[in-house]
Amino acid sequence: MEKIEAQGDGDLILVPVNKVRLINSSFQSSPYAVKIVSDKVFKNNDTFVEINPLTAHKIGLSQGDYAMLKTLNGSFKVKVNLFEGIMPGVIGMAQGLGHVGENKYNNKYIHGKGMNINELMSPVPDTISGMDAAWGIRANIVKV
Amino acid sequence: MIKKHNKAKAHKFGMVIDLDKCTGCGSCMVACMSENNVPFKENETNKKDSITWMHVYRLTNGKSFPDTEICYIPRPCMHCGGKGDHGHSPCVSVCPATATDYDYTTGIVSQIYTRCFGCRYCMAACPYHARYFNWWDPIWPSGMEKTLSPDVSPRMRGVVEKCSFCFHRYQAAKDTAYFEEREDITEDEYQTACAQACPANAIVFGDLNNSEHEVYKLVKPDPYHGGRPKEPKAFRLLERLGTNPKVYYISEREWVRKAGDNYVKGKEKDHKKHNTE
Amino acid sequence: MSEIEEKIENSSVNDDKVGLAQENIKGDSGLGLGVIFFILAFVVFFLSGWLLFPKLLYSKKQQPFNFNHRLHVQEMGDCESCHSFREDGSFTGIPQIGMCVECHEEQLGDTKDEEIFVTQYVENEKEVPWLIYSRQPDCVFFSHAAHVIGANMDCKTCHGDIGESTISKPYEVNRITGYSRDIWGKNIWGIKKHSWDSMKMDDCAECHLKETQSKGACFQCHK
Repeated sequence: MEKIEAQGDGDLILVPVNKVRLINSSFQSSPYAVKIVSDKVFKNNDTFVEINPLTAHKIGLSQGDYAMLKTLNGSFKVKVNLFEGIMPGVIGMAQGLGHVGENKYNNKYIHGKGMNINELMSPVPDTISGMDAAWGIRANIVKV
Repeated sequence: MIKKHNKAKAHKFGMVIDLDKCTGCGSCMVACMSENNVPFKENETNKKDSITWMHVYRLTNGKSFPDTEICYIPRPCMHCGGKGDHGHSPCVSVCPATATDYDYTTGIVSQIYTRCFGCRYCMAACPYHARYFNWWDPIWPSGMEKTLSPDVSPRMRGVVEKCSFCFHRYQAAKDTAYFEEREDITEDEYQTACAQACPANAIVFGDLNNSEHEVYKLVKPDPYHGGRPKEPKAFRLLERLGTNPKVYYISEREWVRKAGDNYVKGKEKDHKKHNTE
Repeated sequence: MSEIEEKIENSSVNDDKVGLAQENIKGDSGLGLGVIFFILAFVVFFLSGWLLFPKLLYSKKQQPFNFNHRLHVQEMGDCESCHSFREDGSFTGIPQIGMCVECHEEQLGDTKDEEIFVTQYVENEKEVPWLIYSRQPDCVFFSHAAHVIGANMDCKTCHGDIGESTISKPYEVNRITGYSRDIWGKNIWGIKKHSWDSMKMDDCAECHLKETQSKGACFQCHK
């Protein structure tokens, strides 16, 4: 059986984090739900990533710094949020932001805000089920 | 001949929130906002302007990975009774317009929007940051005006608002009680929107003066010690300020109970002394 | 030399006195006219304030058609037969045409008012836009159950003798605030002869204080 590894090269692993107040699929969260999302997830037009303070210290990042998050699929400018609860060596980014495209269900309270982590992820087909597996991808983060 | 007002014992409506059950989902926040016609803007990321009568805060125990623990704390208005429940809540004591008033028969601190002229003195006085100011007029998406609650006044810009323990539900329950010629309302007739919405049943609401009610049984408030809970796992936020809040919290975790008040560094053992009194 | 000494020397002081005296005489008659003018103006403004201004402030509207309360009370019974409580304790207020249609599907009598009702409203299934004399502002919560059932109050205490009336009195509405004149009270001096003459917050508070020894909590009435 083939072992699936995180794709790309980079020192850290980027994982999507499901925030309970944001819908993490193509549905858009309703205004009341978007209102209660913490300002450490997205603020104005900036998307935050969660990094352990130990990892951040090694790279030279502090709370609220802007940084370039790069995977093999692209790079985003993000803001840094230090959180003790995330494992060192892992970067967490909320899933459910960055809704784009025109359709009648767009609501201005969430549409176009933040960045879509799916653009950085690279799903790999699982050999047994044939479905896409997307858990983590190797990433690098550099202060800008 | 008009019947005399019933001399039923005064209520003291309060809440008990079990912090070990709270998942931080935010259903209480959303339920509160839709029940009470709270407005929302396009960009709510500036949390200083964002109005959420019920607000869920997140606490960590300060330890590094893998010993990090978090705790979510829902914080409605505490409806402080002041020392001895005499009605000297911080906000009531400072309001120049008597827009906020303490009611002795229910223990609810009411906010009357028509009297408030927006000086925000109450916001400065409240130690729990439970009060919010309407910087702007509410703008409801078209069609949403039909879904607003008819029992709650919508506020215009320039007034302060806060959690009301859904007293409009109390009025509706009393209406039914009068119609059925009952003296008083039952426990499940008057429940706040947040208590009703919580999927984990972490929020319990009821009459702290009534020993049959769940809230009383959970914390056993001590009337001889300023309403402090007799139950050792229960605590109130900023207990030592003497505001006599009506919202109690329960947690098995020691660090959570300690986080409920501020202590001078090195004097944390004051916490233990306080809670076992 | 000082001015006065100069004047005495030139004998012009007396002249001044005479001049002054003449001015004084003119001043006297001026004062009288002024007083008369003041009284006249006072009366004019007093009357316009107390008689003319209310006429301008309140616009009179008529109900869509006359409703004969006395006749219907004789036929149907007391107030409760049409103005009833629902199961959850809320009050129905003015009945909708569903209740009237139970008898009035077709014209029963021969009055013009009933004809208007049947042709314009029943046949078109349109609700009658009654103008409500006792409508309180939107932010006020009033519980009929608490007062009628809880305190055993008579409808008359707040609504007056409307049950005895054969015609609907005209609806006077304040042009500025949009509220009915029955709320502030018809009497400009603010004198109340009956308990239903005015229905402002102070009137509710007065009765509450008398009957329950407390004006009540703010949120009891304010949403």
